[in-house]
Amino acid sequence: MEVVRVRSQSNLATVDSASRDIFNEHYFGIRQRDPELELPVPSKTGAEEIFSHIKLTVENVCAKKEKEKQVGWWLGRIGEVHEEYFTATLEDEHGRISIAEFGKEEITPADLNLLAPNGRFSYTVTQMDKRTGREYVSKISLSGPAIWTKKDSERARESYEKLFPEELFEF
Amino acid sequence: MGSNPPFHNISSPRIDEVELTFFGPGYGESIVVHIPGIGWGVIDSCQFGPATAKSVPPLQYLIYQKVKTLAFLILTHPHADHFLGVEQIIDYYLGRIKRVCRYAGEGARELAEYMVRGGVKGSQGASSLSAVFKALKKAVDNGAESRRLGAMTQVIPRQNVSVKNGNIEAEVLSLSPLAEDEGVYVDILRKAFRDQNGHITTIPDRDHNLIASAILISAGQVVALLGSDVERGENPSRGWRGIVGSIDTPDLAIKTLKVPHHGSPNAYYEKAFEEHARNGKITSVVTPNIRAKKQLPALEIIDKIGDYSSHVGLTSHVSYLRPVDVYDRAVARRLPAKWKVIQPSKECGMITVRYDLAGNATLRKAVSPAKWVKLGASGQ
Repeated sequence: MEVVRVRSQSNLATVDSASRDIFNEHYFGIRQRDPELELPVPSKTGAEEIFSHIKLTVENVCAKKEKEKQVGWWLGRIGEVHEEYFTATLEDEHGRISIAEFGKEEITPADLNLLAPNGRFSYTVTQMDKRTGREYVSKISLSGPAIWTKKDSERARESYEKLFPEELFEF
Repeated sequence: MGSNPPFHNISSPRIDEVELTFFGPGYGESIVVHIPGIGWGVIDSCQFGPATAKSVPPLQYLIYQKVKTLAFLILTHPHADHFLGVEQIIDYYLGRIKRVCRYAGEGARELAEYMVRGGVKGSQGASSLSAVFKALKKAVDNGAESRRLGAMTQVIPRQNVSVKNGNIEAEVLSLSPLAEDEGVYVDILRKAFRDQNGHITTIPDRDHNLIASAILISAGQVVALLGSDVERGENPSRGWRGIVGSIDTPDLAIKTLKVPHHGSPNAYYEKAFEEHARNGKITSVVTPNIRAKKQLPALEIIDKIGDYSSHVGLTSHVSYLRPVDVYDRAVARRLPAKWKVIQPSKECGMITVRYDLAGNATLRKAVSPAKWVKLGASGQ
C-alpha cells in the first residue's frame, strides 16, 4: 500500500482570479490506495472510455508532481461585521500588522455564525504548482467556539491558583 | 527608540515646573509627570520596537531625567496597551516607589477568572495580566503603598507643598470608574463565563474601558486631565456623562488633556470639552491606536477637539504601506483589495508640555514622529 498525500482545499478556498480555476472543496488529508489499481484497464474499447482512461492516467501521474507551499500566513482578529463585509486586524509571522476588509463571500454559509467581533481566524495564501501552471489560493479558517469541558475546568482552576493567588487581591 | 532615544534637547524641568510627557507609539500609551513638591509619577506604560528588542519609553525617559524615586505609579485599567512595560518600571524602581495604584474593586476576581478561562483556550492575556499584578504586589512588598482606583480616589491627597519660596496646593485624583460602570462590568464578565451550550463568550475589548480611571492632576494653577480610555457613558450615571454630571467631581477646567480613548467617537463628550475649555482653549494630546478596529483617532474627533484646543498633538504618525510594498507581488495580488499594512515608526516620539505654577506654558515640544496638528496663534 502506498500512502499518498492528496492536495486539497477547504471549502473556504477562493477562486484564483488569474486562472479562473475552481478548486475542489475537501480538506487536506492522507489517502491510502493500492498501486495496482492506479491505472485501471478499461473493459470496453469505446472512445469515451479510452478518453477517460487516458485522463485518469494523466491525472494520477501529474498528481505526484503537484506541489503546494504556504507563502503567506496571518493571524486575524475580527473587528466589525457589516452586511456584506467584515473588517479585521491581521498579524503576519514577522509581527507586521495589517488592517483589511474581507467580503463575506469568502466565508461559507456554515461558518457565518462564527463571524463575530473579536473572533480569531487564520488567513493563508498557498502557492500551488500544478500541471496547468502556478496558482495561488487564499483561505480563511475561523476559530470555532471554544467548547468548555470538565478537564478545562480543572486546568482553569490550576491556572487561576498559580496566576492569581489570593494575595494579589489584597491590594 | 531603543539605542537612540529622542530625548536630546529636552532639559530637566525646573523644580517649580509641572511637566507632562506623553508617549504613544501607535499601540499603547504612557504619561510621565513631574509635580512640584510631589515628584515624578507614571500613568500607564507602553512598549516600543520590534518583538525581539522591546524598549519601555517612559522608563527610558525617567532614567534620562535621572529620576531616583517615583511618587506614584498608576495602572488605569487592565488593557495591554496600557500595562506593557509596567513590570520593567517596577523592577527598575523597586523599593523606590511611594505608591502604586490599580483597579481592585468589584470585578477584579471575575476579570482574573475570565482571563484564565480564555487562557485555557489559548489566549495569552491571563499570564500578562498576572505578571503585572504580581509586579505591583512586589512593589507593595518592597515598601510602596497601595491604592485601589475608583471614583474620587486620592492618589496623592490634596496637600500644601513648599516650592522655592512659596506654597502651593497639589493633588492627584482618580475620577472613575463610577459605581454603575463597575456594576455593569461585573455583570458582563459573569455572563461571559459560559453560556448554556458550554461555550465561552469573548467580551469585546472595549468593555474593559468601563473600569478605566481618568486622572486629574492639579498643582498651583495648573490642572491636567489624563482621560485614559474612559468612554462617553450610556446614561447620565456612567462614563464621562457621569463624571461631568457628578456633584463630587471637582472643577474640570484644565490646561492640558490626554484625550480619552485615543480620540475615539465613543469617548467624545461635548459637555466635558465645554468644561475643560471654560477658562480658555486647552492643549490636547492624542495617542493614536493603529490596531483599533477603526483607525484612531477619528478625523472628525480631531476636528471637534480642535474647536476647544489651542494645540492638538499626536504622539505618533500613522502611515500605511500597500501589500505589494511588503509582500511578494504574487501574494499581494491575492489579498483583498482593501488591505493596508501598518508602517511602524522608527522612533517612538513624544510630546512634552510644561507650565509654571501660575499656569503659563513654558514648553510645548513634539519630538518626531509626534507632531502638532494644530498650533496656537503664535505658532508655538
